[in-house]
Amino acid sequence: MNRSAIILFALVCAVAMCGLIARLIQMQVFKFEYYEDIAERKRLRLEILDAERGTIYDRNGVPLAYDRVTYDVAVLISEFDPTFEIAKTLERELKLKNVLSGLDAHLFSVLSRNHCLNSRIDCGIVHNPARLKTLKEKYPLKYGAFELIETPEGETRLFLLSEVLFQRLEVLANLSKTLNIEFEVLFKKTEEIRNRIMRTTNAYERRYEMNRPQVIVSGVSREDVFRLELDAERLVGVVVLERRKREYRGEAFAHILGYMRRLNEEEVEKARAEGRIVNRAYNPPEVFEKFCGDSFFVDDEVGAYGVEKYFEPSLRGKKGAQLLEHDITTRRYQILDRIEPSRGEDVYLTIDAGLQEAAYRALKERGIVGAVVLLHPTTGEILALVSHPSFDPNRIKDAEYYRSLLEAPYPLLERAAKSSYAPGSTMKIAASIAGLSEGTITSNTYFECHGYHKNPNAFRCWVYPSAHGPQNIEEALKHSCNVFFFQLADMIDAEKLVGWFKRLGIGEPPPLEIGATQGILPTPEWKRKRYENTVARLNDLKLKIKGQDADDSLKEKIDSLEKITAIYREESAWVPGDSRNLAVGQGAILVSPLQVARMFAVVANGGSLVNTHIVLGNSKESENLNINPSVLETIKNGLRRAVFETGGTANKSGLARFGAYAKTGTAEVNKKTGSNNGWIAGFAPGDSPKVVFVVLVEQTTKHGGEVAAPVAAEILEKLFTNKKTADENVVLSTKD
Amino acid sequence: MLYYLRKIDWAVVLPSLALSAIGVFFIADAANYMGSPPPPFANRQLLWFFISFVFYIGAMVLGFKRLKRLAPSLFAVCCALLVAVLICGTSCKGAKRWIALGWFNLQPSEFIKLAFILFMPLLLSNGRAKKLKFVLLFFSVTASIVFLIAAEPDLGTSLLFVPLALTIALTAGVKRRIIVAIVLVVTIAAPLLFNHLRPYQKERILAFTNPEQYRLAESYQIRQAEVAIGSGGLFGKGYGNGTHNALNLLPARHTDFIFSLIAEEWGLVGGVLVLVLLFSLIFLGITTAIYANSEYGRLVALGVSALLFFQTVVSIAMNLGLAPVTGIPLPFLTYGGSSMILCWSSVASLSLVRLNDKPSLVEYCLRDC
Repeated sequence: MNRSAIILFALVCAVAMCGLIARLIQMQVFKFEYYEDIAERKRLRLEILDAERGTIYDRNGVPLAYDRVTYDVAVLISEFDPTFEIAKTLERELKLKNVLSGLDAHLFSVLSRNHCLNSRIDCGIVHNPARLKTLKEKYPLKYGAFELIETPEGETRLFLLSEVLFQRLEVLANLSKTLNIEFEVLFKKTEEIRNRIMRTTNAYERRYEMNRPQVIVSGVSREDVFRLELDAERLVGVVVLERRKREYRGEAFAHILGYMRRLNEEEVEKARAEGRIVNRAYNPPEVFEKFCGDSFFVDDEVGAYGVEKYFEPSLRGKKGAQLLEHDITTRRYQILDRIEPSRGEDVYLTIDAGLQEAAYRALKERGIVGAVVLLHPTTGEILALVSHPSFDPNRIKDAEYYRSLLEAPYPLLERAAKSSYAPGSTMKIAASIAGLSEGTITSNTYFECHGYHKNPNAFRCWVYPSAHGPQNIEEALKHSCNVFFFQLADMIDAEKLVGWFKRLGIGEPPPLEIGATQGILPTPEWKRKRYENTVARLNDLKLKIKGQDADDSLKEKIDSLEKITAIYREESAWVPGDSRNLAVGQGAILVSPLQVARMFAVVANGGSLVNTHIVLGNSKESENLNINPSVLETIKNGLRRAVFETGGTANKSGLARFGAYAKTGTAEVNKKTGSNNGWIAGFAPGDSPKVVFVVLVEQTTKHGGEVAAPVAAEILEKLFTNKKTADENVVLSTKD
Repeated sequence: MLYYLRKIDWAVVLPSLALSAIGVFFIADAANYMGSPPPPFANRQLLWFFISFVFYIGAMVLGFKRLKRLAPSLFAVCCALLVAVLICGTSCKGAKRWIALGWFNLQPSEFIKLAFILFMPLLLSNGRAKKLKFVLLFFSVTASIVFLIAAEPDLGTSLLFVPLALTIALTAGVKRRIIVAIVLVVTIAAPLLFNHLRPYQKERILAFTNPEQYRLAESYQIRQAEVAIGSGGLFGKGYGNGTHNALNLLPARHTDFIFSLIAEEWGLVGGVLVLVLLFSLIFLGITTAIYANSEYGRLVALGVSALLFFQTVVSIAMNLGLAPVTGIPLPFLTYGGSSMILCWSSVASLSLVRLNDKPSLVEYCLRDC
């Protein structure tokens, strides 16, 4: 037991205690004025700096979506309007009450010219004049409105000078002149803001609102901003805010690029719970400690659709922060520290802006509702993905405009990759590959077309009541003869046929960063499942009303379901008609233009299913389908003859000029109105393909060769004969 | 009723009550400017106070002898909790210091402080201080605690145990040579271990030594606190008129920097008041250590004293700009349930020693002469 240790410890404690008290005295007595000066003069503010969002470029570096900066003029009430502070000081020093309302009443009378601007307000007797005198001497700007007058009776009375008190009137007058806006307008806006703040009961909220820039004029031009900056010294409490607006190159790209939306309430609450909501100028200390670039303003925007949405994390960038010390007396800022915001990453698309716009224009000028896909045959890069009609993403925030988009012809619908259609004769390619690869037929097999197959009312050729006569497969492709393919379908095993369709990417969504539809591929299993599902649903409903008295709507539902189930029962098995429909692309089958393009790429590149993508660098390995080259040769010949030889369905289209090999398609959609989907799909130049093209025309009464093919020709013209495009076009000089 | 009133150890309870009250008072002030609506920190702190007072009464009822018997198991439980927090603690700013139990956050590193004071003297009493193996055991246990807490990471609290252990050891009669050796080892090892610190810990120390260079992250906190205190002057700006207006950015006003708030709003008078209250408890502990009867009682009393002393000094020094930012709570004043319970339990131990371990006059004279 060491007694002296305890004494030693006691001594240490005593010394420490004295040391701490000494330091307190040093700080609070000897250095009091130094610290008071800082406390009076300096304001600290943590500003959050917005990051520039990454730009979305086309493959050649043409900017398609980018940030544009606009300017707003705002005021910081805490600096702009000294009456709050003065009122507080007076309440503290003179123990006055209701100072603020008194000051406001005086302002009112100044404005209504009852009092002139350089009048004085009598606040009463000061019991501690020395202190106020010191404050006034040290901080002339802050306490400039105070005037201490000695009365003959020996009292000291405090007067407030209106013109200093109401300096904001002068500031507004300045702003009004520089920005060419009426003084009354600006004054009303600031008074609105002020009144709103005064009515806040919570001290924290009031302080927050007074230190947050309140916008009074938005959309100020850059020149005006420069002029304001020249006058900055006199414009007390005025700040210029930079706002970013996202701009898009045009309608043609709308579905690919997407657009932005504000955060919804849920997302804001979630971010707030994680401490990731920040304000532009005034932030509570906790933000300061945990600041991370991955935070949001309450009115921040995020990508809502397309590339903007799917690449949001890399496009967004990280916010920065800036700690400012503002000196009230000299009105100068000092940046104490700064974390730079980091710009978002740019995204480069495989799209060629020129081609995209040309394709879009080709559809628009003809008033066609439809889609265009341009695909690189070996890499899978998408050179154009066009859907018409489209919308202007720059206007999407306009409520009326948006409402108009919800009506026919439904411009918000993306038709190239996210919608699927009856593909018609384009599917004959798949059937051909299936038939030749499985050995069901050879290139020398001949079938006779009588204009119909078995049932003239059910399975007709499109030239009915004419007939094609005997043809081999090349000729059948050239003439797009249905009967040939009906006969092929009868001979080939259904599972094998369906298997080849699957292998060619039909019924599965093609890879696409912004999402693509899978369409529908009817298979025996699909039919069977469809029937089984309806039976299940029917049984579920029946179980629900077991024993109870069902209401009418439920009974109706059950009735209609029973009818559908009966139909599906009949149709639950695969019948020959299904194979025939499949071979000519009619019936239940639904395919998107992108899927068609991908399938044609298989023929163009010698048998590989490519990994379609829209962002440069995302290419992955293609899948070799192991198709015999002679099969592809035969098909290519058929496609060539369709374009080059008289009688070919694509002969009069103008495609021959570019050496294109193509297949037309005309899919019946509505027998009554005679409405079809018109297709053309192919690649050019046929012998060494540089591009795969697909054009879809929704709802036409004409044939694919008549409506869709000319569009393709116009696009190929832009691609091949335009000198500039030809030189720059990376399609012709692929990277890999 | 009067009987119980006389039984209460007023010398300990009065300053503790005063400090707790001041704490609640100023936490309410800080909370008022922390959001809209203000967070319920003051109410919670009041609740903690009541719970802690129950702990105090409970300890009184338990009695000194039982406390001594329970000390080892208490220590074992706290060690287990320390390990548990490393495994399943909740993260706050990347630090695993708490175990969440519903609406209550348990901070084991606080409770281990008391367990340490109650248990460790057992290792060194009754002449064990002179035997090397016990001394080594004592310091190895201390080292393990230091590393367990530092792994959370909570460097400040873990380092607290070094001077605490040394003080207890020195008082228990461990040979001075060993104490000096340990001090040397620590002093030499410290700069070498600097590189193993986490970045924010390094930043805190660097911000303390070069305040001009490091302004954004840590040193501005100290700077704000300094200005807040200094501008308080002799009598302060008055309750509710503090930094929130002038400088807007003093974080942790209700925890690490609550002393700054008190010194700013109540001035030098307020600051000295707090210091006097805290040191009165500390010196009370020292005098108890001198006259207490059993060796264990003396060591516990001194342990409590040392614990309060080191925490107070480090925390207030940090507020005054004399030490780098640490997470060490200011006893009774800092917002936090675990800390409040710890403080009241510690002074409860002190009270127990004072009330139950008084020597008779004869015994005292025999010892002293």
